[in-house]
Amino acid sequence: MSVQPMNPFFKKIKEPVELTMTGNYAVAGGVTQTDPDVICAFPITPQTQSVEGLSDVVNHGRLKAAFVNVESEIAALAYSTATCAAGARTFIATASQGLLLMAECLPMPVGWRVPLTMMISARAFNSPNISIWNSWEFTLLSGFGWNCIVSENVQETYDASIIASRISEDTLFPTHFVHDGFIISHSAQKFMAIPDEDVLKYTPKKPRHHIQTQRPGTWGSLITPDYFMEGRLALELEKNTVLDKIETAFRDFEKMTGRAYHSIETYNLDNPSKTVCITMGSMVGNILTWMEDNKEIGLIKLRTWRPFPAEQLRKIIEDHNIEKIFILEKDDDLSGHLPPVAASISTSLVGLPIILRSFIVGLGGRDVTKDEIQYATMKMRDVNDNRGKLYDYLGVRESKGKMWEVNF
Amino acid sequence: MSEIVKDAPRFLVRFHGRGGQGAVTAAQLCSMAFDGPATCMPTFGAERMGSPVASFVKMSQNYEKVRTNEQVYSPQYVAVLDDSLLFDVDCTAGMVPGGFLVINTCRPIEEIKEIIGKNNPLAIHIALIDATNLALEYLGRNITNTLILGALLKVAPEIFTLAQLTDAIAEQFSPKIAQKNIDAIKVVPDATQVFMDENAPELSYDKDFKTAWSHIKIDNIGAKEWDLAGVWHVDQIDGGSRRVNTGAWGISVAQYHPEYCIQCGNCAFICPDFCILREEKDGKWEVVGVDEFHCKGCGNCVEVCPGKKDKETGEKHKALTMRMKC
Repeated sequence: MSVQPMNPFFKKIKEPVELTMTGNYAVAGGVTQTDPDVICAFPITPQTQSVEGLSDVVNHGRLKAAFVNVESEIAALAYSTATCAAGARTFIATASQGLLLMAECLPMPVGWRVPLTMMISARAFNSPNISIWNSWEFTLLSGFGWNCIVSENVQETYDASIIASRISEDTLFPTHFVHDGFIISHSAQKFMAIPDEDVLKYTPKKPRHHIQTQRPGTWGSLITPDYFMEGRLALELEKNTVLDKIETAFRDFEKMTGRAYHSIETYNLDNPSKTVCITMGSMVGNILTWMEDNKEIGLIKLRTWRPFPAEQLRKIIEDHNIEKIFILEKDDDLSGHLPPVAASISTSLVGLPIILRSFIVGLGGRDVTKDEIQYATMKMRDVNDNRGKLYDYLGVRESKGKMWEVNF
Repeated sequence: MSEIVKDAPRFLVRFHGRGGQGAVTAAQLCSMAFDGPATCMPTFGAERMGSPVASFVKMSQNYEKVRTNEQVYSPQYVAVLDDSLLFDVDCTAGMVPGGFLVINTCRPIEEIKEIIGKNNPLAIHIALIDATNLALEYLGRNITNTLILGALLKVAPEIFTLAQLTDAIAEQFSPKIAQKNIDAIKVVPDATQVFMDENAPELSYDKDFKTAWSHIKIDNIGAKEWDLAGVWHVDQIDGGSRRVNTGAWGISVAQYHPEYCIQCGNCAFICPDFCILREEKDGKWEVVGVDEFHCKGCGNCVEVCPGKKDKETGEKHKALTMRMKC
């Protein structure tokens, strides 16, 4: 092969170094540095190169890990959950239909408290047609108790591949880290790689519970109504401590690299219109570049999607007297209810005097440009109550030659 | 942030190529060669060999200006790796007036102007380079992506230097291939002809010439015309691969010699693009020719053709051979 994408990670990285790689290969590099014991995933567009890159470093001998080929996504997650329960640091990756096929296995690593790390290259679910391009399918499958952090660009997804491993180990809950399929997974961007030594110091393999022959027991056995609820409450109580641990992981990461991350990040909140846009992922970059010349609105960027930082969001909205919120999200629900991101946000803000709308944009890989951002900003000027439908599709054709008018 | 960085220009480049020509690698090399924040991305489509693709680079010392993850709609520089794309794609769409269109072609400037004139571009400069022949000479393959960067170097010396570009190539490719590319690039600037448009204004690095909603192809069907099950009925599909001139960028094409054909059908099975034309005669499908519009010249059919002995000379001839286009 004339182009060797994983070349920089074949040798030890001793100093912080600037690299140019696509999102998927950068993740493969980051995961390599966290020294996983097992890598087990099934390829699916647009996730493929992350695992392909890892197969390169394993084949090269740089990474001493078991690279396990399986026959499907459900096998991949079942296998990964088990190896993780056996004590191995395990990495897995998927997208879209692969995530759906994994769905049966998604709750179990949460119940067993195994620190599995999964990359999701966000891609649309198939309906009514197949799309291999970006939508936020993960928002519809994020209710099982997995942690989930979302990245804006290649630097962030590289960092997330390292931070996610740490969050999993600290919280003993499995962690998804998500980037937008193609938009980030296949974009080559410059990023700073962290020295191997620092990464290993940041993500130590700590002793934890695991399957052992000395003390036999049954994992995931049948449990009667006498006990099941106690098991669920035990998970909930532990889940309540996760957000603080994620913030700690971010803080320690900042100490190590100087790159400051938070569960929620804010820009230009004290704007004259008291309007703020909430979104996550790659669209944040689009809005921030647009905001270079447009100061009318503010921006809230969600980095931690699960557990949802509800209290923190509520405090920010109250402290800055925000009156209007609009959400740009790449997912829809078709349940007649708000789409997933807006649903999480609105329930966090119950009781606050907030005017809220959600714009569904960029489904199936449609680009979100300044046109969408400008239109949404303009549309919000005239919205003064919460009556009627609170969400609509934006940037879509109604018929040949005619754009769909957002109707609030 | 210092004022100099804040006001730093934002360079936007778009590459048009066909799948397999290396437009994506060209964009990546660009971003690696640039000293400062840079991102690049391809159009996200079915990256089939020969289908039209584009890739984009955004470069600026001011990171906030290139932080966006949207595609480039208003480039100052456009590089076209294959001149047959000029017929299929509006390569000048959204171009900033005073910008440069760099084309790999052996057509004369008058013809190029006529072709792109149909899309009514704003006043832009044009640079022509016969990169295909240089690539064949230096690389032995029709891969022109690095050479077109040499031409870009000539029209936009402010983005990166030859040294920066060769460093990026050395980093990206294995040493042997890198050296061939570097040798080739050095002759490109002299071989590039630049035609300046006198009416073009000074090039602006801040103004955006994207037409509103141009990223949504307004003439395609909309939600209210959607089939109940989302089915794409074949009688309604406008285009598909049938109208895409995938054969345009091949440097050779298969040629059929019926006198040596034994009708074994091997070629029809091996052809990746269904370019072996067949007709039904007395209940049998017979090979009758080659679809030159789609043939990319892979040569697979020639490989598998068993051929036939000439009765007079006893010499064996294949029914399919490769013919160079120009």
